[in-house]
Amino acid sequence: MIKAWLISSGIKFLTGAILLGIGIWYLSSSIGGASLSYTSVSNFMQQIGVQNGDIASANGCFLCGYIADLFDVIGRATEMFWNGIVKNLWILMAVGFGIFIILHTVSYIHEQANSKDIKDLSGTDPKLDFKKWFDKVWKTGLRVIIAGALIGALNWSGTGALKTVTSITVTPVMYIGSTLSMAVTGVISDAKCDISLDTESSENVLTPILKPFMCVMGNLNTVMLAGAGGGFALMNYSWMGMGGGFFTWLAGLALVLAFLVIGFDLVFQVLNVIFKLMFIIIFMPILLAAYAFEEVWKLANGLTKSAITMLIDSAVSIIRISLKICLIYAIVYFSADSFYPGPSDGFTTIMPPLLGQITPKNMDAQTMSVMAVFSECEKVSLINDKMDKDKFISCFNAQKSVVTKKYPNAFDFMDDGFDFLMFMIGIACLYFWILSPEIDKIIGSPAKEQFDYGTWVKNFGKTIYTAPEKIYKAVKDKLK
Amino acid sequence: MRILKLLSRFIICILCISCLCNVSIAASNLPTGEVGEYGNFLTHDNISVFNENLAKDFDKFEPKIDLNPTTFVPIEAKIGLMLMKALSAVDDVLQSSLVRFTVIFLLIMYAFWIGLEAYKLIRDSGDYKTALYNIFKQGITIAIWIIILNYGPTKIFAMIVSPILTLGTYLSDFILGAVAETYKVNIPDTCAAIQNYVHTDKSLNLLVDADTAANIMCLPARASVFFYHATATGFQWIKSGLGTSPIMIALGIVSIVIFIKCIFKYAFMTLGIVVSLFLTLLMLPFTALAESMPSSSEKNFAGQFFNGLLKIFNTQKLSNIIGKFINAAIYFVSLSIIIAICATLLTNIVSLGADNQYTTGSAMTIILSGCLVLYLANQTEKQTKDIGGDIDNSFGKQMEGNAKILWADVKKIGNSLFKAWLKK
Repeated sequence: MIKAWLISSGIKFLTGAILLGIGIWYLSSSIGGASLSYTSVSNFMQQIGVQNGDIASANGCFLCGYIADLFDVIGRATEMFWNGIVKNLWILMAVGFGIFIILHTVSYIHEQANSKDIKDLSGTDPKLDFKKWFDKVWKTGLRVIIAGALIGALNWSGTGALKTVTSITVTPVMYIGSTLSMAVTGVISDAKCDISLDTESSENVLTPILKPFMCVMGNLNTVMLAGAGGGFALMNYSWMGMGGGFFTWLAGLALVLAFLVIGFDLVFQVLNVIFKLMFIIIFMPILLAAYAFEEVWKLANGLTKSAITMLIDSAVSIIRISLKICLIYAIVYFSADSFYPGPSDGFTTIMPPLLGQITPKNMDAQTMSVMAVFSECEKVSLINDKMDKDKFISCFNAQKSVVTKKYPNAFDFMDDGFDFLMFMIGIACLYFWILSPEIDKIIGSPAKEQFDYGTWVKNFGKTIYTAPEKIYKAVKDKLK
Repeated sequence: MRILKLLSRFIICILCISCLCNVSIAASNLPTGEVGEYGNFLTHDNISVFNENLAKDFDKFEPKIDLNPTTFVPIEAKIGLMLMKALSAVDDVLQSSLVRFTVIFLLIMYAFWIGLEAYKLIRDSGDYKTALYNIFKQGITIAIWIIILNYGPTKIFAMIVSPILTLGTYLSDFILGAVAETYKVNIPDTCAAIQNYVHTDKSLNLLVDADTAANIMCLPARASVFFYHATATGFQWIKSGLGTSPIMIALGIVSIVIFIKCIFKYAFMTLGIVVSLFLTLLMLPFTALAESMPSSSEKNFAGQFFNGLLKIFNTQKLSNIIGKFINAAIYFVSLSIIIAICATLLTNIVSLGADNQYTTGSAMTIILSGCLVLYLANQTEKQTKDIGGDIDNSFGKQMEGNAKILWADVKKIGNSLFKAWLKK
């Protein structure tokens, strides 16, 4: 029995280690060359593959390639769906309105026939209250005309009109998100998110959300890679014998894992938002048609309101996610600033100064010498957007020996692994126990998602994770 | 649950890696000296060599923390300061983008609102003078807010509310000092070290005054020095118990767990308040929306959309925000009373001499006092509520909930292991 428990735990541990290993490899391979130092944002942008300053082209976007393909396929299917349904929606709405008038009239006559007033007026000239009947009919009729006009316009101008409707409703939501995430990551001066390019040129109906989505993901990945890059740098300092020991390596690993876990968690939250928006776009004609019968048909009641709520929730979610990733990066950055090297002066060797390009202040001569060594070696070793570790180390060793002659303890900061590790554990607790729930509370988080694609994908991942254990158990039960 | 699972996987991963790495370190502990009769490896000499080596390793592993109260800055105070710096930096970034966005959004919403009012006026044939007056009044309010937004609402508001926090932290310090004086106990003043730490930060750019920030973090740190020393004592017990007394090892582990929990409990309660206050400040541009834009009474599609946009953020009214700061000040004062009680209890087990050297009480006194302090720490939220009024205790509840889940998981694993061993 104890053997079975041990084997089962061993399988679980191995599966976890393999999955984490893949995650770490994925992050590591998204950064060009060795992660050793990031003293400038533009160098870092080059290393993560940002092309022509377009943030959407940043590496490391988990599932982004597949999502772009998925957008393309769903976009085409949506177009076919729209073309098919828009032409017939008019007929459906007219039939619906006819049924409504018949049912309403029957119900009205039945109501009037059983009315006390009419019975009491027997013998005289009973008058029917037509206002009651007409009020409901003209209101619904007006709604049908408005919705019909919109759908008619869609029918007349094809998917172009729906694209326009999408552009003025859904795109601003993603635009707010992408602009804000660009602002909070502070990469505006080194990268841009050009939404207009693809939106105007492409025929795909989902294009209005694809580009802003890629920008949000690009920003998220930039921060995730910057944090993980800091961790890899620490691991490399220790591994390559540049400075620091086991705890420096461990602190680096903790940093990598922290950004891996937080980053992937946020990626799934963005996926949730994006699929909600896709849902709104796909069913836009039906939502418009449902608006006409909202007051008179129970099934359609509240549908438009739900769509509006969904749209607004999406905007809020994007802002919430941007704020979370920005805050965790800022805390880790300032912690790294006070250690690598200390004291706090706005400069650290291990992480790029995102957040609006933090500028070092009041640096002492020793830290300035350290900064000069790292930025010089970074410049020398960055070839074809990749950091050459051998070049960096030879440059570092040569420059270090010069600096240590004047400041013997200048590079001792690389040994501060244990304290930084404690910081990382504290910050992880801070994020999961305080920051994240508090942001959710202030920037309203929906309590229970109705349309939770992100969690579905995550659960699918968990199923894969537990699959070897389940297979083992099944085999064990069979052998019994 | 999801958070705990993520966190536990992260910790488990680090632990597994450190365990694997420690295998190579531990391998050096295995004495290779002698093999006893019948191949017995556990000879008296081998065991003593093994224990000595393990104690040496433990010496290396034990964190060397400088507990001199004049220089000691607890890690939670440092994390707190980093948190405040990060929130202030994010505020700087947000002000440059969010303010512009809010101003444009305000103007669009104003135009939208005028449209709705005009529609209502035509439909209901209302009083146009009142309508015009309302539109003008709203326009003035929006203009004032736009001026405030351009001058940086967070900094202006922080300047106004900082004295409230300063008063709260000053009163807290006063209470701690008074308790120390009355009971003739030496509660180490770690505040000076924290103040120094804050002032040596060369890139400090906080929303609140640097001294106020230091004073906020100073509050939970007053008892920290005792907690850290008691934790260090726990390490000492484990070391002394290696190879001699399993009870000492168990006591050491219990002591470490109790006091680390105390450190976390007090630190995170304060940090929770800090995050809540700073995030409220960060959201001030949206408060401008809540203050200057009335919701529409229209129930139609446009009205619903307008009200939906206004409710994007759960923004609070200015009066509520000021109330939040006053509550925080009261909370700090109440917390200081509980910390004073805990510190007085702890002076019986860890006492600071005139030469800044610590002496500790007996093992059982430390454990029992530690349990009492932990109980007080767990009850703090309720007690501070009783003393000082309503506070936001959602964090405490969440942490407690997570701890219960963790304990249930540990118990489950323990049970399954025990049952497996019994079956064997």
